[in-house]
Amino acid sequence: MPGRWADLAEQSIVHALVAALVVEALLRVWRIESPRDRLILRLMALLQPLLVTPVLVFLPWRSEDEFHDSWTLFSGRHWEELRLLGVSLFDLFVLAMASIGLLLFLLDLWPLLRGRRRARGAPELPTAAQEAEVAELARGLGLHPAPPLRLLPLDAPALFCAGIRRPTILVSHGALALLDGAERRAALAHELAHLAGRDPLVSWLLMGVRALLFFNPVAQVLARAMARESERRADDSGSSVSGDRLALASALLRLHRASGGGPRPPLPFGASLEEPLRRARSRDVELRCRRLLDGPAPARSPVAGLRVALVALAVPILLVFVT
Amino acid sequence: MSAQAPAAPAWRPSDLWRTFAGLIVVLGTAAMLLAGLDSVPSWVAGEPRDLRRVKDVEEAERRLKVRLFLPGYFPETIEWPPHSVRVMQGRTGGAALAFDGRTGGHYMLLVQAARTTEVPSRLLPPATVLDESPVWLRGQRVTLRRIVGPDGNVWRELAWTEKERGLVLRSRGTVDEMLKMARTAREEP
Repeated sequence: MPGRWADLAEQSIVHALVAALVVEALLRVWRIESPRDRLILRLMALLQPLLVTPVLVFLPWRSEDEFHDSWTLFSGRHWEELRLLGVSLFDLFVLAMASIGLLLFLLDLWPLLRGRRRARGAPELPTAAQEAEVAELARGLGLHPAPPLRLLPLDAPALFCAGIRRPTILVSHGALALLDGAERRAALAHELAHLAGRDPLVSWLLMGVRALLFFNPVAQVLARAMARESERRADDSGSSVSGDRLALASALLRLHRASGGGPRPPLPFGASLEEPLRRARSRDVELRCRRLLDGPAPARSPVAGLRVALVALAVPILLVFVT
Repeated sequence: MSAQAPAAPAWRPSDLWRTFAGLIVVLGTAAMLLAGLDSVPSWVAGEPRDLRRVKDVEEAERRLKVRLFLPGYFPETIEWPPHSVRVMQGRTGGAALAFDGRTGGHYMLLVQAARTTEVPSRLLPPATVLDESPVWLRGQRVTLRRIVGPDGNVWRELAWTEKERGLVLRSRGTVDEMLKMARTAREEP
């Protein structure tokens, strides 16, 4: 039985890699620009190691030698024949991938745990004008009733949504002082769009999936890519209500610069990782701003449902022959 | 009013065409890349993809789902266990057991078909036949050859059939030793 669990971990990594590469290739071949479509297809890739691999690993005929030697497109067992210093190359690959997976998971888990322990001070009630602005934007996004707005007594710029059962928009005094009227409106619409898409719940579910697949670096990267797509989707939905993509781009830049690339608790792995991560965050903000400046939100594909169904069918079939 | 991303336009036949063609191209490419990656270990080992080096005789039997023929008479000049056991899967597959001599160097190769009278040629290293002569083995007229093996040495090769399965024994030992081994060959219990 322990052999089966090792098989499960190995195949989870290989299946996620194959599924992610196929989905990324399809995103390019099908020229999918809509963040919603991209998000759903990446979810399809993430579901493979979570749901498909456990089923496939425990199919008895897939573990037989004849299936490995005659029917598979790729079998890790064949790579086990290649050895480096007495250790199979495939085992080394799996070990390296699992270490990277764990590192990527901890990189995001650590700031989350540290951030939750930091005291933010008791939230304050907004003014009537601020509440009315949020209510108007929420109506535009189909949110009934409008989620409450709370002000954080902080000088640091912070603007985010939180909560699953009682979702709330939280804005710091620092953010209100930093943004002009149009930028504030655009940023609030962006956060409301997250709530309209139930993104706080989705992000917790994604974190749960990442915890289950903590050893799988591809799943960690896919989950991060999905988080980025949900930001783009909120950019599009929010700016369609606020009516000003330029203001949202400007707000993003201002908040990013004021936070110095994103305030995060120090990592336990040393400062050497801080700079690359800061650069990655800056690059992401830059790309989002370019998207906002480049023109209107891309339309969903008219055959998006068909494409999702095809991926949901074709990728597991391909993975049957990857052991 | 709900202001979401722009609604999807009506689909055109070209959308369907691009969807299916794109999927076929991507899956086809993925399948080819995976098969190519899978063949790397065989390529590095310099052997065909369907030919596998296995741990021991038991694993060869498990993979082929047959009992292998092994000589009951086994001269002390030959090392046991075999230094390599290779298996070719499939209906026309078989196994090749290579043995070293106790004084070193390759000494004997026993190749056998799993289910047919035809020994898989890919399990036999190429050789040049110098001469051949008929010999009698348990009432069966079989062929004994002198060959030059890939190592440049002269070997003897004996080919016969046992229970509708082809066997080839190559050895650097004497003819008597080879015949004795062939006569006592039986399926391992």
